[in-house]
Amino acid sequence: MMSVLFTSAVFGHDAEVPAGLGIVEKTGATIPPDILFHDENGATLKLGDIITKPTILSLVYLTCDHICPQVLGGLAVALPGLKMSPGKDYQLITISFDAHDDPATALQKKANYIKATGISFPKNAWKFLTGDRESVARITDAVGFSFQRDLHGFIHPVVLVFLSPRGVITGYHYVSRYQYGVEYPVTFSTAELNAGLAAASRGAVTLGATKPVLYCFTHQPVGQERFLNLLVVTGIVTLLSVAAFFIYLRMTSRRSG
Amino acid sequence: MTERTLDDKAPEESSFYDEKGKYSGVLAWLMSTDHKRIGLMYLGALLSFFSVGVTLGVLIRLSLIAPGAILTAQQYNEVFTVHGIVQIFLFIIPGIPVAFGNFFLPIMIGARDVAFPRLNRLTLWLYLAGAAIVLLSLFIKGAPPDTGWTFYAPYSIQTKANVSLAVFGVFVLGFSSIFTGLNFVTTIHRMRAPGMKWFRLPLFVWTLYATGWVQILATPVLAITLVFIVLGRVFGVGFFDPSKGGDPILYEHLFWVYSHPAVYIMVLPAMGIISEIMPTFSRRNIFGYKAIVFSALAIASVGYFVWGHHMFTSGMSDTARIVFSFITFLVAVPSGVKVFNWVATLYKGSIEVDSPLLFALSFIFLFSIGGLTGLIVGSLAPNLHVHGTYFIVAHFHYVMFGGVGFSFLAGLHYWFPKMFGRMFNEKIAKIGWFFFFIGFNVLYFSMFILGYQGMPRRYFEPPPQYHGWSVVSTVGSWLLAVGLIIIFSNLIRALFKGPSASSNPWGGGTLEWSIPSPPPAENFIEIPVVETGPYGHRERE
Repeated sequence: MMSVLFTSAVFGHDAEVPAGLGIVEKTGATIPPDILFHDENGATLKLGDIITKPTILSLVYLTCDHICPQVLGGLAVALPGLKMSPGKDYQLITISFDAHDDPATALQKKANYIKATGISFPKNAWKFLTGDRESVARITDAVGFSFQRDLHGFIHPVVLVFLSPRGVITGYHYVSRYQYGVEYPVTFSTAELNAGLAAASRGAVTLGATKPVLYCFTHQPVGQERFLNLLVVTGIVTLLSVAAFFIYLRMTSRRSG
Repeated sequence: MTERTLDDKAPEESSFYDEKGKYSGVLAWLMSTDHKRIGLMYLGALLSFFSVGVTLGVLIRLSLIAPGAILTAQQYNEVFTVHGIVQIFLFIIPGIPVAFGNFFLPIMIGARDVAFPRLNRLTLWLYLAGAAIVLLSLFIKGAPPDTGWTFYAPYSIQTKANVSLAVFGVFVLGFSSIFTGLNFVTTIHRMRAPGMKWFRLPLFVWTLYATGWVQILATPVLAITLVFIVLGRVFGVGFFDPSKGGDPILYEHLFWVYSHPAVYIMVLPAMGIISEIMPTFSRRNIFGYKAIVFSALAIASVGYFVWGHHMFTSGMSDTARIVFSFITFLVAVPSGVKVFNWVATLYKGSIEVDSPLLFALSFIFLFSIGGLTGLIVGSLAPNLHVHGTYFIVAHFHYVMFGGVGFSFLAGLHYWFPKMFGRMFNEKIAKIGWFFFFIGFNVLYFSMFILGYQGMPRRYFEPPPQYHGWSVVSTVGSWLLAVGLIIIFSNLIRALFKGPSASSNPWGGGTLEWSIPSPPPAENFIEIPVVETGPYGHRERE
């Protein structure tokens, strides 16, 4: 009994970010132009063919229900405030690193986040790409992004990558603020996004800041489920004994009511 | 009811006050297993704690209009916490069942005592022990609890105040409650007089029955939750500590799994009292007896599944929130059924507006406001707006104090002649009611306005734009206190100087009015045989 009780205390946090997971900055490197991805409509395309203007690249998995939607939502509401005009001066590319994600899901997410911008945002200015394991491995290697499958999804860093029109990585923007109680808890400063895009359009490489990076992960310690099982068992035992008590009272009643 | 002949024999018997037992003095009371003595001891204890709670409440209101002048911020936190703990755990949850339930349940079903008289005495001892432990936590080394009455984790795990002791006291009180429920349920199953079929039970008994099941089923959850807090504080077990794999939201779930049904532990017996008073004072049979019975059972059972509405802003999936909100709306239906039935009972009745009816009518009015505002806070969108504001404070005071508190006073006036064999001054009771009722509404309705404007609850120093209504509310608390002083002075005076009460001063039809006031030690010389439903009326004597 007590061993069950204490498991949560002993095992504790199992949500430490595993060593080696995160971002290794590859600023100045060029994205291999021949990586193949599917766009939202299922068409296959080469990354080099679509990176033709300053680009904000984000890496997420589409079934995430933790921080990824907050990041994309926060990004969407920041876009109307940018100086440059979307589709013409800059674009966004969101790539799923989960090889199980498909174009249909991507299409749905795209519609959702374009709507979240609240303006008539040109559809071709934000692409949602999905691809197979190999393509995912190549793009994540290229930007120095590592992730790991977890019980309920993935553990991964939360970051935006700025790319020049030639596919050079010009800078990283770490997401490090999370504000409780607002519609999109992850907020982006338009000034910082403007600066990142301006640098990307010039092809000017900026070295990463020393800000700590946020990670997306699920918090589900091992002991917690055992603890919940303990509650389920004691709850059911209580219910059964109460039901037995009622039946006993009815069965052996001196007079039926 | 039948068995009218009992009245003729009754005066020959001496009352239970004159009963000589093994012990004398205080022990004659503390060691007694007579349900009536236990009920009266509970009543005395409850009203003492109630007066402490009211005093602290008035102090809170005073501090709010002059922050810092009377209490420091830390003292303010302690005062509102202790106000909550005393009023909730020491007064209103045990409240009606332990005082009036103990005294009247056996009599109303034609029994000589409850099923387990010694267990009943044990509940009283546990209650007194629990209360003593809670009070001890205020005075021993360290600070009084400052967490609010809900003991929310993680603060309750971290604070240096004497939370462990207070929580242990509440744990002990919980056992008192469980045993009372067990005892009442068994009594109602086993001890009914011949002919007292289920649908001949007075409605107060039905509500005690429904309440008993809620006490048995829900209170263990509170007990285990409180044990987790103590384990967390003393042994560092991290049930509610994320750094050790726990979850503070889990605390909220466990706490409200008990504490929402606890609202029905408080409210159901209050509704039972109203169901007794309405037919007596309108001289009609109750309208829709079975509907009232089934609505009580429905409230007791559906009430288990609404706890999530306390946590709409705590982090829950939308599906869960919508389901909890929907079930919350469902609970309003049986409550509405009861209100309609009480009002319909008055229709074409020969209404006598005596003080018990005044309190009962106030209950219907105030409980309706409390219930309807409950629908506002039970809907998701408005909940986000008013969560954590004085709107919530106003809502639950309308339900708890306006509902249960008024019903308690209604029952106290209704059964006072039976319990003590004395009549109180009816005119003064009405004057007291008037101050109390007006004061209550001034005090708490202004909180609805403040809350709707966004004034946050629990703040030591409210933002200045709320000062105006705060002053109104505080003036209301003075009027309410004046009302209570008048009401209780009247009753205390009646205890010593009131004229003798007849066996049936109000013309009630249930069994307690067929025996002398105060009742004899064994209640009935001969166990009555019941042949009709509960609310056939008699003449006032």
